Amino acid sequence: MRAVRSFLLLAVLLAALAGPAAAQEPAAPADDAALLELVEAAGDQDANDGADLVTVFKRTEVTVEDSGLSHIENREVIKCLSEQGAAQLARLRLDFDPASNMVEVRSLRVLRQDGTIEELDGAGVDLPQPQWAIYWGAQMKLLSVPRLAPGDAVEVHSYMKGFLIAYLGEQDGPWGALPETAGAEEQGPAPEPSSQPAPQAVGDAMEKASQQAAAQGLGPEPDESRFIPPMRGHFYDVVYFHDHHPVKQRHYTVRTPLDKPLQYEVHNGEVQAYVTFDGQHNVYRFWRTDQPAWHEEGRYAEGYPDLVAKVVMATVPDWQSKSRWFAQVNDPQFAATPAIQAMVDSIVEGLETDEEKIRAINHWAANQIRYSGISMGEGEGYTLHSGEMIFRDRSGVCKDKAGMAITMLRAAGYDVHPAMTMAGSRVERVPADQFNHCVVALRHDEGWQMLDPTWVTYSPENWSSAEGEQHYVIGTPEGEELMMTPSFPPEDNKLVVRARTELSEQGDLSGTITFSARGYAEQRLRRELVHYSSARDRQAWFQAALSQLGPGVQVAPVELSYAAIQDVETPISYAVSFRVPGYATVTDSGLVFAPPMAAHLVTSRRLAPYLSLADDEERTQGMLIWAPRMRDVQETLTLPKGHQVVRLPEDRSIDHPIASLSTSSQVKGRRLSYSQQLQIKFRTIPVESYGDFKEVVQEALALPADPVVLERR
Amino acid sequence: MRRSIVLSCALLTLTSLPALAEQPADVAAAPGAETFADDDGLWVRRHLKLSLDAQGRVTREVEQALKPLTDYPMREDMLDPFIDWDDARTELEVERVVTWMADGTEVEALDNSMVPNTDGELQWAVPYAHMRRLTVAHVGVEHGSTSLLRYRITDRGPTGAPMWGVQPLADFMPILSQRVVLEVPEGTPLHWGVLDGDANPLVDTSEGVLRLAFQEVVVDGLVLAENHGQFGVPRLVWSTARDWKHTRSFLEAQVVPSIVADSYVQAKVRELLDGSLDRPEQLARLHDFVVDGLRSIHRPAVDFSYSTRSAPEVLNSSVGHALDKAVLLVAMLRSAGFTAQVALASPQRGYLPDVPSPVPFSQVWVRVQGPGHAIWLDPTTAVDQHNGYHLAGHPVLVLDGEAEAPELLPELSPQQNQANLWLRVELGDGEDVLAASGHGDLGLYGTYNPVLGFDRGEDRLSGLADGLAAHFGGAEHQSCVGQHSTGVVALGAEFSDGSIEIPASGLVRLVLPRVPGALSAQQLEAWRPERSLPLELTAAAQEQVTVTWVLPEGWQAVALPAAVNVDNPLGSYQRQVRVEDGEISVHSRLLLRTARVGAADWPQLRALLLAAEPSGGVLLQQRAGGDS
Repeated sequence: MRAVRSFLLLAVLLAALAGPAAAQEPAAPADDAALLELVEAAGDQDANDGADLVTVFKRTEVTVEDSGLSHIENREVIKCLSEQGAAQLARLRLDFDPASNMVEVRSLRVLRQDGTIEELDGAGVDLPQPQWAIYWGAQMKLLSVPRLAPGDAVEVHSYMKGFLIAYLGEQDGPWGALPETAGAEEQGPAPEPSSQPAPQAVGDAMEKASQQAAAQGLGPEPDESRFIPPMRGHFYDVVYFHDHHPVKQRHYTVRTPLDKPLQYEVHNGEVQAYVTFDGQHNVYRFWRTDQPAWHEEGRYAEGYPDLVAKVVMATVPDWQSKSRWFAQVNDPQFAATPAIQAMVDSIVEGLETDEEKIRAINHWAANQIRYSGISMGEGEGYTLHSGEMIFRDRSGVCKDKAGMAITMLRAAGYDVHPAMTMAGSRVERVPADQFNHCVVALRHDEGWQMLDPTWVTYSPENWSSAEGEQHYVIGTPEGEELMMTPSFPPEDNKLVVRARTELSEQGDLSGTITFSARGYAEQRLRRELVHYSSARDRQAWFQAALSQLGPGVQVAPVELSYAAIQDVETPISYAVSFRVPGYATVTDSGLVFAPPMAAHLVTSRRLAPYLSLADDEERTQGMLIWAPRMRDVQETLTLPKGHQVVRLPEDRSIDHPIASLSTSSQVKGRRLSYSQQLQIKFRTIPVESYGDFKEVVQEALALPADPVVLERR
Repeated sequence: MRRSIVLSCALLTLTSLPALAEQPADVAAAPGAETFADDDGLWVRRHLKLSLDAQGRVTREVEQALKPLTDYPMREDMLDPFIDWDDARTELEVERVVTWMADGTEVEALDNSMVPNTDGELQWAVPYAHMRRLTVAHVGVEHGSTSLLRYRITDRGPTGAPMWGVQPLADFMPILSQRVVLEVPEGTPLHWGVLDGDANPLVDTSEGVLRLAFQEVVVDGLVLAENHGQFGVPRLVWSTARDWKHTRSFLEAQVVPSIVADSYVQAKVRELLDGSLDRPEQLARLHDFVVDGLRSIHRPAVDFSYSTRSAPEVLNSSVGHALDKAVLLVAMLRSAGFTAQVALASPQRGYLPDVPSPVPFSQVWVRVQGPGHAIWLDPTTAVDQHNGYHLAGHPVLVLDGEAEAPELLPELSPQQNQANLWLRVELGDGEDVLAASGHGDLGLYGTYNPVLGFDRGEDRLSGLADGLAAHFGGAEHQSCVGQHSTGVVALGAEFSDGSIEIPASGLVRLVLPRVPGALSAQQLEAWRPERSLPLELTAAAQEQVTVTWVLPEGWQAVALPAAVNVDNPLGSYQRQVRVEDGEISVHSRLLLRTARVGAADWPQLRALLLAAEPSGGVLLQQRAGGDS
């Protein structure tokens, strides 16, 4: 923390010395004539790399009160560059959460290319945001924009009051949206008896919701307490400067009371900044110009928070303060009721060691709390639901699954605390809210043990190995620092394929393949069969996998039981008997075939995402595959009588820091032994390692083209 | 109803905490995983009642009770069901939301389980802000619990619309008690039928009401993944429209007045057609604009009661559902002098001629009278993605003021829907590679033709030639001559300077070519030994490939593909192989005689697909000594 403060002091001094001269600070247009000039200067589609839209400018002015309540003025002008751009600008959407902020449109105008300006009604329509799995009542104001022509622009000037819960902001996954599998597995608890009676005419519920939303909108607000952030007196923000189309100017100003200095840090590129004082406020200004459009390079591209220019800022002095606050607001939630205590007693009954008990409770919360987050009302979003509510509802999001585990573990006598974490991106050192996930920290004499009841459904783990090298902050009364989980070796996430096969003289292949897995790979394998296949269609997963050996593959019924898939205490293993007529090519002199297990039978992106990530010529963004991976294949193939091996596949041995591949083939009598080990050693594949990664994966994909040749004696 | 809601609220206030209450007998008696080990859960009840009253108002009552046995139904959001309704026209009342846990504990949902929500599609559509969604998040759910939801949607007033609809009669989970009840005033025509199935209702007339009750116990679960949930599930269809003419007239009354080309629409048409005198190009420009220049709301027209906004409104809002976009496209086309009509089309072939319901006709298209033939345009999708040939064999209801019934568009014959590929690949011996060059001819008809639509550029033809280059070792095509017209594309291309790597094994494998867009064993999941649902392909088809490899000096084939001859009622596949004078020729022909394959006929189609799947191809090896 000391380092950060030093940096901040230096930044302020430099800023004060350099002032706005570091780069020309874009000024807000003085009048409509200047505004139209800016729109014109933003250029056409050709001047903007074929984009359909360009942001002419976006300017944000934030004023923070002593209480932390923020007043946010946004003015944005977006220019339409094509007919498709007109479709995209058909409506503007301003998000808000009636529980913590309000938004109103100060003005909405269309700036026609011919210089005419049309004033529009900015009242808009307030509707619930589309919600899936997290039902906290977030709202959106929709503004209808009449048809634009290329060259026209729309200007919106809005005012927002209140604060944003970080995970309802620009991130797409509030606490518990599961990265790789958005909407993976979660379950949850029961709502606290709310003040409302139950089922009622929906018209009433909708009406009430819309009244509530409307109440936040216009006019005087008698009670502004809901706009004051829960960490009273403090402000934070993470400001990005990009969009999916080019941005000519992005400018952000924040004013804080003189006794609330803001610490900030710039990441992932240059942002101009300076600080001044106006007698009442510290005034911080940030800007960046001519930002090209941002596009993700495919599904597994690293998240933009780690790649695009941003400023992270907070008045919170340090992570310990954040930690203490988090503990304070949540500690009252973990009281166990007699019913919970009884459930805990039944879960740990007969278990002897702490390890067994902790594991049992963590997995109970993982499996018995359905992922579905209804609202607890006041405090939703930053407060974990009470244990009582979760236990009744049997549903919640990650924070509530964590809350259930904490309540139960405390009832069982353990020292546990909630922790905030960020799945999929870094947490920068300035203590602004940068979290999208909530987990459990258990204190041992030797340190902390992390538990994640959201990510370990169908997993033998207590903490998912897809969460290595991940930042977290534990909420304790003493206050904790920002910490990081250790990395995991690829061996911990191993897909194991063992095969005993036999080839006939006619080239027909038969045998048994056993699939098993460890760690994250084991969870993925189980989930293939319970989340991505209906019960009546589980056999199809094996038929599809083995069809890699030939579309006419015949697969015997696989013994599949849901109880076995659920039982994470017993390693899962599937033995699949099969037959592939005409597998080997019959030649004049013998047979030609690839070792069957050289084929990549498991190609699912959930188990082997890397197989589909080596097609790009080059990349400018790294990739995140969540966990290091390993594939361990061994096959014993019985060769047909009367044949001799005249050629074996070449043995491979490639070992790069990011990935490795080794294969070997041996013959002893009629037994051909084939083995293959493929490792992707890190969860992140940086741009500079992409070439090595690609080499290994492409070599692996080419293995089935390297044949065994048999000759008839 | 109000009274009953008030009563239930009062009761719930008293019982808002979990309590051991008596479960309904069917819930308590519903078996579990021990009986349904192959299922993810059970519909203990799936009941629907639709009533048309004497004033012409429709009430829809739904009651569903779901018992999850695995996590699969939870993941599918089935325990957070949503209800969509048009708040401008109807009123929603939720009567009960409750879960009985596995031990019988009753957990009533509270206010926070009733979540006002918005369909993601509608976040773009300010004009449709009256379309509402309520998500009901069940609480107390666990394996073996049963969650019940009961609600009703009532017309706020008479709408003048017939009562019509569709209800699937099976699901991926078994249904222990299924009931669909249709009630209409006596004397009202009530037509019904079942697509892909059958049913026998109990018919009852009393107190001036005709009541049809379709009841079944234990409906088996289906493997919906076979058709991605899209096709083959038995569906009950009903309608109180007198006949198809009545249905068409009702739809026309909704749609036709909206087809207005005012000065605003006309100005846009002029702007879009500026500089184009070519009629096909004009058609393409207007279609492209409606597809790409306005945002599409992907919801069926029945959700909007088949009502549309006027063409100028749709244009000005830059957004619309399929019927809105069809209205705009027709208005623009007519403004440009084309003859065009809106049409509803069924995405499936089957329809019930005696049930005049437009609901199964869930797609909206535009029919344009071309010279001698009709051109079909989907106003939400580009021609190269979804062209008129995809409607072959499908019923369409054209809103032309005349149609007495849906028109069944003719099926494509295999001759009309065929692809022919002819390749001559000359191989030459190189250092570590075989040099490859030669010639390719391609003819694509019907749905195989990806170059439909107007395009001044050569890119799409050139792209087809690029696709053949792999058979010439990645050769550049030096020349490409092509032509395309409605329905057919033909091209010829010369390839040179390609190279095929000689692997360390010394064995070069030449893959048997397929035509672009070939019927694929993998795509059609030929690894499934059997199916429970029928399969519907786009059209009957024929694929012919002739490939000739001229071998380099000193090389020989050590393995050839087998000659094949499969012939069954669904189609045939033949492969002939000829080796002569240093040339290997393989000719194959796949014929599929029908587009619709019943579940029982699947093994026959599978046999054709497996036979046609490229086997090991041709294996080449240099002769010992390296000379010929």
